[in-house]
Amino acid sequence: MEELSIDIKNLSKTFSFHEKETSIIKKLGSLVTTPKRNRVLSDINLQINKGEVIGIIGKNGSGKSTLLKLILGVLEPDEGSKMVTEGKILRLALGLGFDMNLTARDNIYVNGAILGLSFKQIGKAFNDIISFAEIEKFVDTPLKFFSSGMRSRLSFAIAIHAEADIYLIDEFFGDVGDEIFKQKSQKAFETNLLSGKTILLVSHSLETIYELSDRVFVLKEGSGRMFEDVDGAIEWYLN
Amino acid sequence: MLTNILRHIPENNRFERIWKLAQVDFKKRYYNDKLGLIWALINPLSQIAIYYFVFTVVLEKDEENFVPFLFSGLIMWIAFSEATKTGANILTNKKYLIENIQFNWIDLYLSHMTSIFMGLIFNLIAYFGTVIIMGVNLGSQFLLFPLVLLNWFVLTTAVVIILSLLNPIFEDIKHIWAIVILVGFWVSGIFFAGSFYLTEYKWMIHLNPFVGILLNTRACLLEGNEFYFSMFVENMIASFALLAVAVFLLKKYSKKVAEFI
Repeated sequence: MEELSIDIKNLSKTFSFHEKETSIIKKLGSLVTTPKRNRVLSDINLQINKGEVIGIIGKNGSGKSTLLKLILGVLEPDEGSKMVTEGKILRLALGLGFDMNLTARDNIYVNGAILGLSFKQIGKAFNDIISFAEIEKFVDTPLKFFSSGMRSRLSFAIAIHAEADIYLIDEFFGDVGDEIFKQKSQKAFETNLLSGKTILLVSHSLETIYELSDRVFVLKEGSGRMFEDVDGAIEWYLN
Repeated sequence: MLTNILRHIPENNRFERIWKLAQVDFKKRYYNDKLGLIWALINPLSQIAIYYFVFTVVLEKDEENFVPFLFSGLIMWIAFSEATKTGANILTNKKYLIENIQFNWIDLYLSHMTSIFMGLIFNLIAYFGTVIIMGVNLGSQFLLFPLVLLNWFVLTTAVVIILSLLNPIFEDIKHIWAIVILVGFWVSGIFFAGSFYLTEYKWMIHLNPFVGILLNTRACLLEGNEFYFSMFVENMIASFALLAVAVFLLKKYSKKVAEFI
């Protein structure tokens, strides 16, 4: 029997908010009036086995990021339960935590520490990161002078060294660079992250979802449906 | 030097993360400017020059060692003011961390406070240089200064946590806090000895823990000032109680607050 890594049962999430008021009277009024409510996720059931790659697709605003935040534990559900049986969870998104005023060297250490690496591990991986990102001549240059492609390459190079048990990958293959770098990064991703780790992959690129996912979870207007067959999921999503 | 010390500490990612975030925060505040760390010194020195002029030249206040008296009070207050004002935005500024990894939010506050504390230590070194040049002796209770600093640290951390939890939900808090800081600046005993409150307005000592912190800071840093043990004990108990409340609120409401970041 396969071992469960994430078990979500009947999970729902509603956000309460007040409209941004410009007049002082309306602002004061919002202190006593009932806030508006927006149900983002409704009755979600999701069982993920250890080592599985689950693609998550859905239109903007369908609740993909909220679902990831609930799994990560940043948000709490209104109803339902979430059980994570494995250890550390990490969300990978390009440009994670970069500070434009710091040099590439400083950003590698900060990002590495954020991604769970010790200084010793970052030191060992440092040269690999620099050469993978192809920024050897700009190690001590502040990131504000980098092109967006250079930043994306650096972000990717750091992220593939991260250490976690469950990865929540959010639009990670967005703007990684030219075609040659894309191929290189895809290969590095498969070698470093796809090796037996549990992965939830959020992407608008159906090609990426098709290539990497074992199963696909489709979110539509807050409700979710799991498809064993990737083709079927994409067809249902597009229609 | 600290990096060398850290090399001998066993690998601990949590500790390293706190230290790296504090280091980067400190670096961002000063190193990118042309004058760098000198700005950390110019701020209190320029204030001392202004207040010295107003109190001794304009108001003809004649007090012995007025410069170290002002300096010692100002650096403690400026560090508190900076820590709380910037700390109120800590959750919004560190959103990229909160949304991407699982970690204890206490680490954010510890790194913020470490970074502020580094600036305070730098100013204290400048203070020691000043008193040496002026030929003024340190206070008789100098060895108790680490305890006063601990009191400052606990109180400031508690206030930072509470403000940072309120700020995303009720953004007006930063304007209210700016008024509190302004009032505190004039009533906490930066320009006059807080011992004045022992005879008049005694409630101020219980209401404003900074009166006691400044009195005891001067007992440690400037000759001829008395250390008030009972005030120190009362302040420590109040500061730790406030920190306990702040940590309780953080644990109970952090996920609710995350919805507003």
